[in-house]
Formats: sequence, C-alpha cells, structure tokens
Amino acid sequence: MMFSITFHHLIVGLVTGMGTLCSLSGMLAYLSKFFVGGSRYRDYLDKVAYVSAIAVIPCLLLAVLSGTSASPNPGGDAMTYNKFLFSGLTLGFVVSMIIGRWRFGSSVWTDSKLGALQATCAAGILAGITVLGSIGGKMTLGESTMDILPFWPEFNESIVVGQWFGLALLILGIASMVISLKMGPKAERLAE
Amino acid sequence: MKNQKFTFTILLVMLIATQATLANPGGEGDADRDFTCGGSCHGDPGFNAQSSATITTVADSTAFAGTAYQFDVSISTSELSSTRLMGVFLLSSTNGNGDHPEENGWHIIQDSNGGSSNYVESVVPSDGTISLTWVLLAPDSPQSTQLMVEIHHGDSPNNLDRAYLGISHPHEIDVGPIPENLPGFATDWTAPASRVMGDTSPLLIQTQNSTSIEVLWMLEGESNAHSASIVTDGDDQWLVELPATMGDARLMYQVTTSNGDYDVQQPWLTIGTRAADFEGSLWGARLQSFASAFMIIAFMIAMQGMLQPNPRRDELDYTAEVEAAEAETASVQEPSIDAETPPPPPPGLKEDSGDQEYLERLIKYEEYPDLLWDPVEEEWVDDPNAGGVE
Repeated sequence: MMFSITFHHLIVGLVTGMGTLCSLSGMLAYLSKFFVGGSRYRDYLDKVAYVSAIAVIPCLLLAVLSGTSASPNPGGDAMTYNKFLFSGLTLGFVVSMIIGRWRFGSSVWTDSKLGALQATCAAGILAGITVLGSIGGKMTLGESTMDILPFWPEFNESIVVGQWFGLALLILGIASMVISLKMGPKAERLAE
Repeated sequence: MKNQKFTFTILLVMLIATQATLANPGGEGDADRDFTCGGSCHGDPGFNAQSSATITTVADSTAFAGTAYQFDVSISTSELSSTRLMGVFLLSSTNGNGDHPEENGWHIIQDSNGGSSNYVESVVPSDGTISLTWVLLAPDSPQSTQLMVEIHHGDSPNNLDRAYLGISHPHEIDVGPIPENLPGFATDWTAPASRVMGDTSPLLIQTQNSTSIEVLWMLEGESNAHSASIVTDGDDQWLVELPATMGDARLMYQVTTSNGDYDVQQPWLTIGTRAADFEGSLWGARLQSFASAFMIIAFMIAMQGMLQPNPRRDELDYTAEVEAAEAETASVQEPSIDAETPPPPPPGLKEDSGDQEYLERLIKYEEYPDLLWDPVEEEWVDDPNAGGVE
C-alpha cells in the first residue's frame, strides 16, 4: 500500500508535467501561425507536443493503476469515481491529438480547421489534468487551487451510469471509433 | 542563440509557475490520531508557535467505571486561517504518542462531529468560539486518570507559515467502582454518526445490565423532547424508532437505562443525515472511463475527417492541365520570324473573299514594273506576277 501511494505520487507528477508540456506546446504550435516568425519555433513545438503526448499515455495508465492500489475504496466514492472519469476524458483527448498529428503530419497545426481541432484537444488535455490534480488536492490536502472559482463543480457528486450501461457505452465507443476510422473520409497527409 | 533564449525563458516561466507547497492547510479529516501526528508535522520549533486560544474543559471530576461520561470543551480564539479550520485532539496524556484515550481504557461513543474519533476538525464560527462534546465510556477499572485537549490551527495573514499549537490543563477524573448491576451502554457499542436521508429503519442500541430503556429525541436546536417507541431485539439489544430526517438535519437522543434497581440517564447523543450511499463500483468506473475515452476519440476522428482539406478538390482541379494546354497552344500560334507567311489582309477585306478583290484594286505603273499601288492602304506592294511575294 505504501509503495502504491509513493509510486502514485511519482507517476502523477510525471503525468502532470508531461501533460502540461504537451498541451502548452500544442496550443503554442497552433498559435505560432498567427505571429511573424512563429514558423521558426513551430517545428520544435510540434515535436515536443507529439513526443510528450505519446509519453503521457503509459504514464496516465500507470497513474490510474497505482491510484487504484493506493485508494482504500477506488470507485466506491464520488471523488475517486470522478478521477476515473476525467482520466478517461484526458486519455481520449491525448490519443485524439496523437492520431491527428499522425494522420495529417506536422503541417496539421497550420491548417485553419485541423489546427484549431488539435488546439482544442490540447486545451482538453490541460483542462482534464487540472481537474484531476484538483480532485487529488481535495482528497489529500482538503483543498485545491480551483476553489477560488465560484462555479467550480462539486467533486462529491458524480454521474454513475451503472456497470452494464457502462459496458454498452464502451462497446458503442469502440464501434464509433472503428467506424470513424474505416468508413469516414480517407485522411491524406498535408503538404509540408 | 535565440532558440536557447526562448527555451530558457519557457523553462524559467514554468518553474516560476509552480506553486508553493503547504502541508495540509485544508486539514486531514476526523480520525483516531496521537498527538505525534500534530507534533511531527508542526513540532519543529521553526514551524510552530504558541496559540493564543483559550481552552476551557467542562466535565465531572468523577465517573463510574464502564459508564457513559460526557466531556465538554469550549475554545475561543481570534487567530485563525482564512478557512477558519481548527483541529482538536482529545488526549489522555502529553507523551506525544500512545496518548489516545483508548490507550488508557476510555472508549469513545461519539465525538462532536457525530463520529467516534479523538481528533476532529471543525470550522470556527465568526464569533471565534466553538463548543465540542465527546461522549465516552469510562475505563472498566477504578483509577485516577486525566483527559486534555490539544488544538492546532493557522492564522491569516500567516507570513511565516507557522502552525499554532495550544493545549488545555489536564482534567483530572476519579473513576470509581460502579455499583453492582448498574445499567448502561454495552462496552463495544458505538453511536452511529449518521443515517441515510429518509431512512426510517430503527436504530440499534446495545446495553448491559438493562431490562428496559427509555429514549427521548428532539431535533438539534429544539427544546421539547419526544418519546420514541422501542422494541426489544434480544438481551440488552433495543430497536428504537426515530423519525426520518432530510437535508442536513441532526437528531439528538437521550437514553435512560433501567433494570428495576437503577435508572441511569445517559448523555445526549447526536445522529446526522447523509446523502444516499454512492452506487459506483470499481469496474463501473473503469468501463465508464474507457467509454468516455473511446467516444472522445471517435468524435475527434470524425471531426478530423470533416474538417480536413477536401481530397476530391485535387481530383477535380484541372488548372495545371489547362495551363499546360494553353502554353502549348500559345507556342504553336506564335509567328515565326523566318516564316514566309503572307501579310494579314488589309482591314475591311474579308479573308474568305479571296485575293481576287484585293488584286483588282491594285494599280500598275510602268515606271515601277515590280510593284503595284494599293490606293486604299496607300502603299506599294510587290507585284506577284513580276516575281514578287504577292
């Protein structure tokens, strides 16, 4: 148990750091096209966002596993349940950003629509990590930096759909992803 | 060099953006804790300071062994953090560890927050005074013992990040032998902290040496007590019907244990109201989490397909082919400098009317045998019959 807690603290630090780096780099890569000379840094920002996003995936999964071991009642209360949900959302945004970069190449940031979509994924990653950290702060310290916001949602409540409905949603999600990949418009890499 | 400066600036901003860390400013929650817990984090003289709070304990100086005992504490202070949170320990010694009252034979039936912990955290009201009550079972054997209260809290502003510690004077208690067959609570019974909202199931109370009990109840803040109906559930076990509560209502109840020889009025106890139990499970959370991930991915892939530059636009775009064809045509039509092509017909003369009309208007002069005069254009042209081009 103690090892899990220590390991969870370690891996959460890595996820937070790399996730923030990936998110900020992604958003800056998109914004760079609006500034004179931004193209000089876009290549660096693109690579940092791409590599750090790939690194976030295993770390995030390890963080979930270690958090499950460290918690006395994982998923049995609203706080830990919310951590699972936001981990899933964050993972979804990370994978989406990687897929976008992989399908369309490094010029994806300069395309007006795809670049905005990639930046949206990056913002989703940052929001997810912020909420996850905030819930963690609530659980361990009893407070979080997000307490200053008057509209911050209560972490003591969660949306529970039930195990079987969750399984149905999972199958639906996988099917939707496969259909989008196989039957959607064929992606072509953008010209460098 | 510029890249290095840029990278250095980014790293510097990220380092500066990290927030300063405090230990547990939001508290750690109610629990059974030794003073060492407060002392280890706040015990270093560099990290703590003496609290100016006034701690007053109000309790009997005598108790019967194994019977309920009420310990009241009143704390007043003006020095609190912005959250106004205060942590309060009920201790049986000042050793720093092994000082939980249970270590000296006491058993906590209920703390001031409705639980059964020796350490509770409470928000101090704006008047700066807070009153706490512990209901305990006295040690089983007669002895002279003591209880005390230790507090810790913050301050606002707290420029030096100090924790403020304070401790009450020990409250001496003489635990005497109980009369034979004295009725009271069972030694292993703990009062429940709360019930689910709307729950009407009876409350189980376990006693010892009791043949009957009587229970009075009232809502917190009320002054009139009501009698509860009771059903026996075996020896020294009683099911008490208390009304269901909603919202954050707290119910107070007092049990009187009797056995024909004695009637013992126990301290008032409190039971709170909590929301319905959480229905989530680990596998439910995992499934819902991955479902969310896949749905986000599916949605984003679909959006990528919709927003990508239209691949068919390239198939339909023949601009390059048209431009190449135009260039080819232009190169073919461009007149060659060396070509011996006839000059364009003069204006006003249709090309398809032939050369006949043109030749008829030309005038031949003897003086110039190789030339003809064009009166329309007023120019000399070569005579084709004399070996000229035209």
